[in-house]
Amino acid sequence: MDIASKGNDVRGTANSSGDTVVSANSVEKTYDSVLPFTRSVEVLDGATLHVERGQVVGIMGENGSGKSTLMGILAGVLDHDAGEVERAGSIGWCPQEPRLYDRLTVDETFELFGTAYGMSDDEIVDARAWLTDVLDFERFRDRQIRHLSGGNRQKVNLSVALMHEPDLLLLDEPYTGFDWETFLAFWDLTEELRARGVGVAIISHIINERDRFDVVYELHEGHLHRQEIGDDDGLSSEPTDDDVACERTASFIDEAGAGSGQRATAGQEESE
Amino acid sequence: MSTVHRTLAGIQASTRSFVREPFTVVLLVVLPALSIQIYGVGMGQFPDVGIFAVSGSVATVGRITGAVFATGALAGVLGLFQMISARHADRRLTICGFRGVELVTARFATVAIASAVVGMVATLSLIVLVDDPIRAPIATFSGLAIAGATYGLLGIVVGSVLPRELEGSLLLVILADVDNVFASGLFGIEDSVTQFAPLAHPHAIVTEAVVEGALATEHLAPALGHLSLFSLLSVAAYTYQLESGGDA
Repeated sequence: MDIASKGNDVRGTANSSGDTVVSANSVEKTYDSVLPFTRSVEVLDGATLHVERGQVVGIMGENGSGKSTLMGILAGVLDHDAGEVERAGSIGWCPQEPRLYDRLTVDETFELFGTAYGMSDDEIVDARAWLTDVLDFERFRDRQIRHLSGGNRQKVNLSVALMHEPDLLLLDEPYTGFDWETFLAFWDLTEELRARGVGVAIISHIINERDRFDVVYELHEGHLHRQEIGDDDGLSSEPTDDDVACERTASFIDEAGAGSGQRATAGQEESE
Repeated sequence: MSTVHRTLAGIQASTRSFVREPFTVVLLVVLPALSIQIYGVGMGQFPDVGIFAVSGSVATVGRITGAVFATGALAGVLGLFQMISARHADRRLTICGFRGVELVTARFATVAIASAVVGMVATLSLIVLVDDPIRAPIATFSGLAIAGATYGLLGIVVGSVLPRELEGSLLLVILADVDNVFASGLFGIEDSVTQFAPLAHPHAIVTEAVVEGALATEHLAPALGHLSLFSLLSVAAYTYQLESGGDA
């Protein structure tokens, strides 16, 4: 899938450099209300972000700051009002809320989405065996999605994004509901994907994970603030696209009560 | 991967979802018979003194009206629930490679299957509950299936623009009820008005099939015309909600 889009137009060619799998430049998004006496909400105001092959990028920000909106725009699910988004290669998108068919079993879900990706039956079987083993939900394969626990549903959600081995993974709080073992397995998997050259963008709230990222973006008041991990210089209080301002993220996540490697938030973030 | 293969996979997924809801299956079996009996008994209480613009006994026309109502309302609600339960997942499927036309086709096919099943159940219920033997069961089934498909598509339209189970169900049931009263001819409303009711022509087809034992061919084209109109409306509504991210 080679897609580049500007505004609401989607073009069939990509202008990214060879190593960039997704590039968003000066993206703007406002939710307009058609109802009287309700106000429009400006979510993104010139957000800029790049993900390279083999790079793991974290996206952080307060609840309601627009992270899921940004992810939706990167995935091509949502239109943006202005700016440009370019994608190169195939995409795996794991939304915050699993967008799955509740009454299909796990196996049937793999079959349906594998068909959507254009995978052969053997490829689907192989992908299913790999992911159910790595994320440890092999014994739930014949269960309907609606009968799974939140954590297992999230494993299926993540697996659907991963099963075709995409060039770019867009993960919106992918480990919501995971137990500790699965959480560690997820990061092992992410390292494996990084080694294969997959670009990964993850919305996260966990301060202890920051060292796992190559780059962290903090979304604040519609702007993205970029920080290379290990680079503590050049912090700025003024929000610009390339500035570094991760203190807010750190303090926010500390306030949320993250323990050693534990989730900072118990439940899912409010829908954005 | 061919379009046919993806479309079949979509139809299979929708059909599985449809039959795996026990409440839907129970409703499917019980509602037509219940509706036919209630309408039949209710209308049978009216004295048959020729004030109604109907052919056949009032009780029989009441049962026919009950069958058309149950088929339309049930198929409409099934179409609505199909849309509501699948709208977010459908959007994800398009990101994964499905084309909009493949998903629309899958939704239409599921409505067609549901309408055929509901129409069959309603036909069997009519055969059992109407006093006189039904002389044209296939024509009866055809009229009911068209009524079901018309409201199944209307369910897609409502589910696309009003994706709420309670409000959408109420809207569809009330519409089917009012539409059916207009369509039944019980109150002799002018033809120029009633012919625009989506259930008018399917109702006429079923009435002729049950009472006269014939296929009302003059009503077939307008009934299919309504069906085509609702097909276009549902494609437009479904495409709109798909492009809006399933959050219309």
